[in-house]
Amino acid sequence: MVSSFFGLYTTQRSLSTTQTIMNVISNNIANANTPGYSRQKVDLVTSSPYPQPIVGVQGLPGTFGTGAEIDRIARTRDSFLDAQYRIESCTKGYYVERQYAFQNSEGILMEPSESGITAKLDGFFQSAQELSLYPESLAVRTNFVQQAIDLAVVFNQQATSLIDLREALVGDFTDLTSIRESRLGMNVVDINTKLDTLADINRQIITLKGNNVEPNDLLDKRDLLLDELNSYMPITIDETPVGSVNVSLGTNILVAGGTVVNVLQVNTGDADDPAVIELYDPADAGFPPSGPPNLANANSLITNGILGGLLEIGGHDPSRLTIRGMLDRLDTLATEIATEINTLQAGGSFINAAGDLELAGPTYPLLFGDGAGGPPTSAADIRVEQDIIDDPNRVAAAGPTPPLDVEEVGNADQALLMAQLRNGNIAGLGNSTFANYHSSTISTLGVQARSNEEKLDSQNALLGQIDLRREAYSGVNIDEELVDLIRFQRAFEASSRVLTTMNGILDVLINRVR
Amino acid sequence: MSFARITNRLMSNRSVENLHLNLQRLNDLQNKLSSGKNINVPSDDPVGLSRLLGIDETRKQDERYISNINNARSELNTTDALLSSTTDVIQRARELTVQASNQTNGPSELAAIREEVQQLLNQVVQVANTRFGNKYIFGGTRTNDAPYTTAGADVIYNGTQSTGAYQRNIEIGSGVVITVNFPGDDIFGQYDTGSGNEYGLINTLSTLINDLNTAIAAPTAANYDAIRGNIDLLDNDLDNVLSVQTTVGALVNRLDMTENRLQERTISLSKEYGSIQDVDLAKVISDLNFQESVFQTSLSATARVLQSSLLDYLR
Repeated sequence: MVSSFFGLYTTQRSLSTTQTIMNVISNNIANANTPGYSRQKVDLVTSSPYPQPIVGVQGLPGTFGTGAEIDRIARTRDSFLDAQYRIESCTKGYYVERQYAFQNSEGILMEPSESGITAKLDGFFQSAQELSLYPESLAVRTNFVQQAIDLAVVFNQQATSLIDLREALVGDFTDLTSIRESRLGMNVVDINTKLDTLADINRQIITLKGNNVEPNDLLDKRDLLLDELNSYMPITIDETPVGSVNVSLGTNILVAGGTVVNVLQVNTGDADDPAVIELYDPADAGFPPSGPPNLANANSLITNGILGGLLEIGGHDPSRLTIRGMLDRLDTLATEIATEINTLQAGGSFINAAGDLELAGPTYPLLFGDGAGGPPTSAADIRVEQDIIDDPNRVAAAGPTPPLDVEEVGNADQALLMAQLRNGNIAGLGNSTFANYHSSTISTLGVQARSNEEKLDSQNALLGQIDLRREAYSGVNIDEELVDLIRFQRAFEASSRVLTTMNGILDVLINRVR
Repeated sequence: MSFARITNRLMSNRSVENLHLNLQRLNDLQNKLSSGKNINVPSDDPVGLSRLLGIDETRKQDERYISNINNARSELNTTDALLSSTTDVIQRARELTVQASNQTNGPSELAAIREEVQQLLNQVVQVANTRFGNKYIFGGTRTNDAPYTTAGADVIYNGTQSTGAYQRNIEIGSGVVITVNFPGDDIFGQYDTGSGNEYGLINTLSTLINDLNTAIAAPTAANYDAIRGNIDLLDNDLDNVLSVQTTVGALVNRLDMTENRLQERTISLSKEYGSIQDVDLAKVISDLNFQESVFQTSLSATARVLQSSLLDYLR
């Protein structure tokens, strides 16, 4: 025999189950647009029948069902897609950073235009030709000097801008503050915050799992966090039996369960690699740190992701296109021009204060110097020396031999040699002309920027596809939820109806039977 | 690509992505149209840009060579005109010498002839001291000072000697250098009694004046013969000037040919430059129109798809 009120409990269970399901649906709809949210699904099972099928129960034809109950609220998530997404988003981060640097470099080098080095080189050599026609004209000499200044200035501007760009990305190795405030430094701060949050979430998940509660929303949050961490650098993710994840960089554990084991910290490197990423115990980290690093240089472990891209473009790897590489080429170009022109200057004759030709000689002031009398060492410090600016007659346009008559100011041998340098194959530039050398700098940048852009596009497409597949699996379809809502609304109504009917029966039993 | 399930976020993400892509294409086309250039930054077309820079380098140098050629040609034309007037002078001097060597001319006629020869000498010095722009043409590289100065009867050459570094060179092609000037001493010679350095046309004319003076003082047959002796010298001087003039003519011809070649190359280089860098307007505009309608369509499609939901039909 079963209790008269047996059916009431079945109905009550049904009502509360349906209500719970509607809460889940409501949560799904509310989070339809939440990033990282996975659709939650209620696993319904029939509750244990009455009586328990034990040997010896008599008097009943069989077991009665006791309704339905909720086994678990699970999230729909495909961890394979997650892993794929993370690998590809790491690579995307790498391309994004390179793209940023390349686009800026293209803006700095300004080719093709009338303001780039190519145009200024042309202007300079044109004015040397003009000088070879009119070596005695002060106006032509002044123009020649002006063109030389223009050339030096464009070298200065481009070199300074490239140096600034490098500093903005990875900082200047002589200045820790600049490294901390660089893009790299800022990203490292972000990463540390995320590692902290990850440890927190791990802790909560361990607690909830210990209490046998499915921490769906926390898992979603953690997955999103891991996605983000992976876009910075290639990390390894290991799940543990207690539900937490361990995150490591190479063999160095960053987060183990609820504890942050290592944090990242930037430090000064050298001229080749301005910034070094170190791993510190969180207690020791800081500026200055209070203990030795656990890993003094993690750069070689970070070859991908946002940090990998930044370290590469800001570094000096000769097999890659780096800002340093472009700067080196500008420096070489500037110093080679200076050397060639200065050599001709020292070997020629200028017009002295008396209006006579005078052999310049090796102690003669340079045309292109470093602004302090010495030869220029880079594109950033090349200047036209003040002596020449003050007196353009000091440009040695005339040749040296045979010993010239002091009045032979119409001699333009040196000017012609300067003009002809334009087509000369310069040994220091790998036997290429100045223009070709620079053109090759530009096309290297162009080819790299182009190929990076294409790779970024295809990476975006790939990532988009994975994300769409992930979304197809885990995302919320509102129509679907609405159908479910109606389904369970009907179920709720039906259960209510059962309750009313039962109530009627009990009413008869209790109030009408006398 | 088809999916097991289509979710709302998936639809809106894809729509936004596609709209963005369409807008990007539209923007690229508009950029091309407004700049008129195919290549605005190196990554637009790295290979094209490297060709473009190469073409531009050659083109700009050619422009310079053409301008150098024009410069050289006007100086050479001036030189040519001056040499022509010098040959006129020599021919007149020869006529006068022939006339003076006839003994029917008495001292007074000879004096008149001497006067005219003196004028011719002055004219030669004036020609030799001509400037082109600010340069003295015949002074070698001493372009700031008149090459000839006179002191009494002496006419002395101060320019760069023809044995020295007199050349003013101009580049008319990569590595091709021509000398555009001729030193005065080669053409006109000098008459320097101080150093005894006397030769060339100026020496001949000065000698002729001396011989005329001698004949005026003593009209003997021997002195008339001495005057006649100058005819051969004048012929030599004429040959000398004519040979320089021929060289000038040949140079000008060479300049003309070089310029023609450069002009032709400039035209073909400009065409090639244009074919790489200039936007094909018709194509870009039609692409732009097409892309615009694609964008409009994707907008209206997105608007429709995103609107509809089961909610529209539930009461």
